[in-house]
Amino acid sequence: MGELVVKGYLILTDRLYTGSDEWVKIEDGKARVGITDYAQKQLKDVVGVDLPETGTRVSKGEPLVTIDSIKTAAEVYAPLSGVVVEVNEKLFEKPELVNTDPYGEGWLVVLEPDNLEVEKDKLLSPEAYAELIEKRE
Amino acid sequence: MRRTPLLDLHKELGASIGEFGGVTTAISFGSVIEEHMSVRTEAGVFDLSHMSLISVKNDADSLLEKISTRQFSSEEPLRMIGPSLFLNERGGIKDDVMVYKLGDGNYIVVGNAMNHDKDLAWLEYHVSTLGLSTSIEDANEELALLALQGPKAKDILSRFDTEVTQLRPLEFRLNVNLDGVNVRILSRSGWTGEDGFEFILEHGEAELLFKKLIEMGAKPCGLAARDSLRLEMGYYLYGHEIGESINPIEARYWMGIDFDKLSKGSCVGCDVVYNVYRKGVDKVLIGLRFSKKERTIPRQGSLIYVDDEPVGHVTSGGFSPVLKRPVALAFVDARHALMGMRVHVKVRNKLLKTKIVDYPFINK
Repeated sequence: MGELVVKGYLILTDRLYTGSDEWVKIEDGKARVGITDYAQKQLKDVVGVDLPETGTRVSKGEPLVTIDSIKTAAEVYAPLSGVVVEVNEKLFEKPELVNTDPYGEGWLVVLEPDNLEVEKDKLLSPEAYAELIEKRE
Repeated sequence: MRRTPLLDLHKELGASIGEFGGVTTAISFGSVIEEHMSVRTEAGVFDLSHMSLISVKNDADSLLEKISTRQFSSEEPLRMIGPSLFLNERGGIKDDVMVYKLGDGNYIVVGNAMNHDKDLAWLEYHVSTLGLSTSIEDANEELALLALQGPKAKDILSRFDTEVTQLRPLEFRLNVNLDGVNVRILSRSGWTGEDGFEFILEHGEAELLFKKLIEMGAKPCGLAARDSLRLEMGYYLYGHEIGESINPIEARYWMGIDFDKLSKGSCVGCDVVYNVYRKGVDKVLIGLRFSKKERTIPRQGSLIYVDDEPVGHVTSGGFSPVLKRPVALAFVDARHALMGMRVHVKVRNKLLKTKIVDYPFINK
């Protein structure tokens, strides 16, 4: 699995990204969603994750998950339109997985996308996301 | 934007930097929860140089006696006096301060960062109205403030100087040399609920001491951990639990007031507060304790409900790493402020179940 590191932030090359620091991994036509290393570092210690119910329909850009950290509450936005088909129940007991393994065990939801082929093109490649981080303060 | 004199050091140590009370400083050096637990179980070192440091010299006893809610003249020197309150004419709290009585009519007033200019102006105003020759100086230009907190704090410090560990709470020594670092004031004090020490010293010396304490095993801690530690203790943060429109009676700030002075009206705002004490209050500060399974965190401004009636609001909310559950401080209508009572807090669109409790939330 390829990795990029920009200013100390890890970016994996096997998935796509958004400008609001979500990652999307396409698996068998479905989209697994989480937040990036950059995002988890801004939040600091995650103490609670407010996941949607399976069956919830979301539009791209709508709030999908709310994360409570010791510092603040932050919204995670749906990177694609679709239906929530799975949520990471492990996060109820161990919300800190979002910090320790944001790209692996810290995944948030799996979406069944409405329009993957079209909406996928609007997501950022790992290189484009890396550039975005580079430009940030 | 003001900055802590140790900002470059914090950046070198990889701290995430942010703003607090108008000052740029270190928010965290990594995991806030780890920093918090280090202070509770071992030792942490904090840079508190963002706080307001004001030197009040020459015949300051009468000045402070006049504008503050505690006794100053009769106190022994080499002790900290506080928390002490500066009140406005409506009995509201302009600032809560800790004061170092140096002796010979000289003091250092430590206040909240956001009130630095306000405190300077308030002191100068009263020097003028009282016709005193007291000098008021901004000491932040020269001095920094550090804290070493935790059960192992005294072990760490005793490796430099065994005598300072004899200091009793709020006592301080002047001009202490810790392994070559010159500390102007070394006190047995802190704001975490743990044993610890605080240091007032020149900027350059502060950087040296911060590094030395880390080498001796103290974990560098930022302001996020400082906030979660004080919240577990139910200590008040200016702009949250206390402010110009909040009086010490409704805030239950007993440690900050001397009832003798209130009843005699012998400080600015004292008689107003005494009247509040006599008449009673409409709202009161209480604690809220949540379920261990609760993962939504109440925040400042969240409304409190008894059934569908709003009865108050959260002033500070957060996660307690020791209790592993959310806790909060809140103002509630006096008629509903009953210990043990079940209420709800609205966060986003959820109603969180909670119980009214007193604080500290942890056993200290």
